[in-house]
Parts: sequence; C-alpha cells; structure tokens
Amino acid sequence: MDPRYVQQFKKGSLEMILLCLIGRGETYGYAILEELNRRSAVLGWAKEGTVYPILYRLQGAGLIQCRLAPAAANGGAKKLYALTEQGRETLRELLQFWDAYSACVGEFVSAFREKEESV
Amino acid sequence: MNEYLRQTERALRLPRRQKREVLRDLREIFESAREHGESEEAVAERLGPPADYAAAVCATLRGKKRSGWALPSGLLALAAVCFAVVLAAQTSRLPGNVIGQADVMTQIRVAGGMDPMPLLLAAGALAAAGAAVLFALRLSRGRKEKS
Repeated sequence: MDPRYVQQFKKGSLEMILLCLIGRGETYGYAILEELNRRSAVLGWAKEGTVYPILYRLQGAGLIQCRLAPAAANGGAKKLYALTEQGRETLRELLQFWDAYSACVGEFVSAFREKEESV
Repeated sequence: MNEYLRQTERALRLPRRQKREVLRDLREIFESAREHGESEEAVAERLGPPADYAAAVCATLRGKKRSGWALPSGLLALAAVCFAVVLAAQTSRLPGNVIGQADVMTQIRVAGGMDPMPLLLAAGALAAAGAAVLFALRLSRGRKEKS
C-alpha cells in the first residue's frame, strides 16, 4: 500500500487527536509525544517536528493556551498546554462532525464488504 | 543541543518574539528527552536537520501573519483624510484679498501664524506614496506565492 494514503488520514486527524489529548487535562510536549507513541503501531512514530507546528497553529487559532511551570529537574521550565473555552467548543463541534463522517464512511465500507462477500 | 539551537536560530525567519518562543520550546524538547534518558543525538536525529525543523515551524507561524493589506489600506485612508481636510478648508476659506464684497458685514482675515495646509498636503502625499509602494509590494508577493 502506498504510504501516502495513510499519511493523508493522519495529517487530517492529528489536530483533532491533539485537541482530544490536551482536552483530557493539562499536559506538556514530551508527554504528548509519549502518549502518541504508545500507539505508534497505527499512528507511526510521532516527532516534535510534526507535533510542535500543530501546537503553534492551535495556539495561534486560540484553541489552546499554555503556561510555563517550573520543571522538577535541571531548573528549566515546562510548557503546559490546556484547551481554551473556544478550543473546547470547537472540539465538540469537530467531534460531532467526526461521528457523522466516520458513520458515513463506514456505510461505504460495509456496503463494499457485503458485496465482496456475496461474490 | 546548543549547536542545534544555534543553527535553528539562524534558519528561523520569524519576528524576534516568536523566534525566542520556538527556541525556548526546542530547549525544552532536548531537556525533557534527556530526563527520559534520551541522548542529544537521538533527539537531533528525530528532529531532523535544523533547517528542516525551522522550515516546518516557519510554515505554520508565518501563515498567521497579517495578510499584508492592512498597512497600505490604512495609509490610503490617512491620505484620503488629509486631502479631504485640505479640500474642505480650501472651499470654505475666502480668498485672501476679499474685502467689502459681503452684503452685510465685511470679513477680514488676518493672515499669519502657521498654515497647516501645506503640512497636511505633504503628509497626505507621503501616505499616498507609501500606500502605493506597499500595495505594489504586496501584489508582487501574492503573484510569487501563487506561482
């Protein structure tokens, strides 16, 4: 299978995945990466070069906000991300569409499978 | 890490505030990874060449920038206001040499002091010229982006 097909899916859904992930509770960059990588078998390995640009975009759109929290080790600071009210609202709408969309796609898929099985 | 940061900084074409933010995040990426036992080399490899990382970040952050029409439009409006004020003043002002032509009262204007009209005219012209230049720049940029 051409990996480009899969890439298209991932590209479209990663923003929503990140919104869901951040919507569960404040989290920071590395934790986001780890959470994604727990599902690397399906999603592939997450990279900062992919995740951070999306975080910047979501922040620019006012869907997420961040605050700096002192990190336990080495005196640095971690940036904690959280959904804004607007982000939560947008995510709700997005998920509503996602449900309708996946149900719709599912209809095509099962119609195809039924046809194939009957042959 | 510092070398990676330095090279990324050089490749980032962003306003200073955004650049600082991106570099701060990049430092956190390296430090968080180290806390989790990853080597700097492993992180650098995952990030890819600094120029690529910078390009990926710039592509998103620059899209957020203003469209480039706001400033020339503002200048054009300023020019219009300047010219309108000058024009209004010109039409309401009586010629300087009119004395005794009025039916009832004679209006005599005493000339003197600073006349703001040339100044306004100059400001209007300057704003108009600026707007024209910026419009032209924005148009040529739009054409470049399309092609």
